[in-house]
Amino acid sequence: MPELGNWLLWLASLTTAYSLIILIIGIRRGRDGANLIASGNNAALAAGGLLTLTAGLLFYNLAASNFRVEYVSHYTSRELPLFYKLSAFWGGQQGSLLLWAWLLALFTVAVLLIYQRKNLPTLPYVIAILMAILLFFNTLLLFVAPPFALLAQIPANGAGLNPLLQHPAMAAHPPLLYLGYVGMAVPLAFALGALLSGHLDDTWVKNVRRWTLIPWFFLTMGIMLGARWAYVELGWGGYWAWDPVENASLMPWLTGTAFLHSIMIQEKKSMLKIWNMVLIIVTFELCIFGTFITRSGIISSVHAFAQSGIGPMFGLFLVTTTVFAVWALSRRVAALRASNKMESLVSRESTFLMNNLVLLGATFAVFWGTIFPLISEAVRGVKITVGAPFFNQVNLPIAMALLALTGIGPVLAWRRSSTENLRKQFAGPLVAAGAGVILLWILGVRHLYAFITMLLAIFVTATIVQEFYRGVRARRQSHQENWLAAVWQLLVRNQRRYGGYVVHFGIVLIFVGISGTAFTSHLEATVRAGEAFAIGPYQVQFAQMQFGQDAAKQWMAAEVRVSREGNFLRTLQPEKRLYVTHEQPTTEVALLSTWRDDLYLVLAGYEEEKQAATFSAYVNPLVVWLWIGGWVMALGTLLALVPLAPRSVNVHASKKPRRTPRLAQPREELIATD
Amino acid sequence: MNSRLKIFLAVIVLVVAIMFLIGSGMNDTMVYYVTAKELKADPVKFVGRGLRLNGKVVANSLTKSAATAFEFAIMADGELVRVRYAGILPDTFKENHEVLLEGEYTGEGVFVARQIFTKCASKYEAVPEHDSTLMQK
Repeated sequence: MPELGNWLLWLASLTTAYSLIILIIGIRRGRDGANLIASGNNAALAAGGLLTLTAGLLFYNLAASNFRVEYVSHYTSRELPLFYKLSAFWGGQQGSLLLWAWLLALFTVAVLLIYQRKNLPTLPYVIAILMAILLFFNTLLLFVAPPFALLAQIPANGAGLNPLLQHPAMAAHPPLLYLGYVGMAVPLAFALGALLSGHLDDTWVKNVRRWTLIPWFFLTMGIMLGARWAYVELGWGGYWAWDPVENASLMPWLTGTAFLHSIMIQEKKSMLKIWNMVLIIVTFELCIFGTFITRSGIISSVHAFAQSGIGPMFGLFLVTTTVFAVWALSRRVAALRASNKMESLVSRESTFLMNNLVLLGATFAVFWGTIFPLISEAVRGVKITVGAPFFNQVNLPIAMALLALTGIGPVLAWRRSSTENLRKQFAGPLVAAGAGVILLWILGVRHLYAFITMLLAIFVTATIVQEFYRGVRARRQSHQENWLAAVWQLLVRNQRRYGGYVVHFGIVLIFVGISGTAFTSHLEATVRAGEAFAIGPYQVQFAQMQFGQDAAKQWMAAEVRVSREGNFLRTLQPEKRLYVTHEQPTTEVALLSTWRDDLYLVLAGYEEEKQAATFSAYVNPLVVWLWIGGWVMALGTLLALVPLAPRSVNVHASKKPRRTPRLAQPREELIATD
Repeated sequence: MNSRLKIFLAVIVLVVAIMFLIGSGMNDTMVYYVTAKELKADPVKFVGRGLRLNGKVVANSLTKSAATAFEFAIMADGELVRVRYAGILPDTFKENHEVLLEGEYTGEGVFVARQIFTKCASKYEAVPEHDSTLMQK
């Protein structure tokens, strides 16, 4: 049945092309084009349906181990568990591209279903742009990377999925990232729709915020899961290596974060309109750029992606879309000029502007470091590269500035903060930070960056706690609610704001987790059975080696008894495996994770005759807070995104336009407390 | 001072600071790609610099002086370079396979590798290979 796949792809592509063309004609006809636009919309829905069928067919062939399909035989094997057979959908290039196209089509369907009845004048433009992007992916699937290519001879078994990829985090990591990359097409389409149609009022801003938060959420989760996977699977003791592929996912996240903040300034103050357009265009292009650099092979990465014809295609797409977006923007520059001006350096707008610059600075540093080998070769003829040390050295101070702004920005007043406002907002957090200095000193934190980071973490947490406390106190006074009800009502009635604070708290935890890197200890030790070695507070005793094998692999596992400060904790089993289908051995890390630190053990080798095992051991302080921070961020984003009560949306919508910023009124939303 | 001027100055200070960070970061951490030929032709030039060197591990050249101390040789464009490495060899390290070394060249003609990256000939895509320790401090 796989032949059907090609037919479905052709049908989907033709439908997409039809939708695009008919929408453009419909838009050009203006009032008379309504029927055409309706037909174009229906075609877009149909394309979504057809691609869903196509994806379903590939899932079916993967599950049924139909090795006649080259893709299936390439990435799965009979003995693979069903879960990994299905996740092999995005194990290779063709499937990944199909996933992109399918997700993009689904996003389009969602946009259509939500806005079709609302008579949004920009909607036809938005759909047309999404269809144009989809057409690009469809073309790739038809001509460059066909997922349903068939083999002349059907192999008895497939090649199987690389064992390193057989991990739940790795099954979820690629589709989450793709949802992030693809999803950024929607805010881009809204922005371009506004530019092309000339409906530059704030409607697009309102719509686009939510549609940016969705892919941003997926990007966050995708990056976190990728880091988690690298940490538990790769065995080098870290989670982030500043590899070009990792950088490629971080860059749109940074600019997307900047956009999410500066769009608020536009919403509230009608400023930064051109800047916001530029930011969303840059964010989308960076999503494409990531795929371009990794798949074209112009930058060598430790991620061994297949290099193929899609690299140049993505390059071409990148250039075309950028030129188009810049052209669309240039036509409206005059209309986008700000009607308001920044009034004070000590105001929320200006700290948001600083936040934007810092985020863009970080993006530029990452971008520069990633493409530097290319530049130096082109300009000076020498190939020079910069690795992790560069990125760490540059980004740590930038990140700390960002963390500081996370605390300062949200509690400053709009327009201008009075001295009174500053005292009121910062007295508490500064006292907390002062106490933090003493506490950190007593705890023995002497590393400069770690000290500053933890201090800022305390400061930012204090501002967040203060915000929640004041909000809850106000509700309790005005509504006579108990604490719990007050917290809930506070969240429900202003989800965006308090969800945002929760995200900020997640960021704080992530920074705390990262600051632990300053205190990592690492050693390599060779010990005989019965002997022990010490690392940090841990004693690690190698008890014995066990060997075994099953159909898929041979393995050896060291039985290791771990104690902390003399107390036995538990037995760990770092392993080395050799899979039948793959020549190289793989490492199974043993991890003992606590809130204080992780003991991370890798079995590096074993000498039979001496009965001596070599271990690579790490003690990584505070890492667990990084993962917890990731989950807190996800929770906060959902809180800001998913309406908890139908009323909250209405309250929000009706309240906003009436809100006028007042001088010396620190928190408009908290009038009751003041 | 006018508020807008203050904001403008703050922006300038920020941009200059970030540029400075990037510039000084580059100077401290640059690593040059060299070929074995360049290295042999003018060894003095490269001593003390961060270097990346590509080559194929020579068969039977691997010796082990301790559990985590290795010596081997790599071959690239007809030149043989001796390599010393203290640490754990990546799982993907194999004789006759391509490796990418990062480290320094000593005067006595030995390349001291700090990190070994391997490019396995795997046909599987999306397989990251940071089996070597990528983030050494």
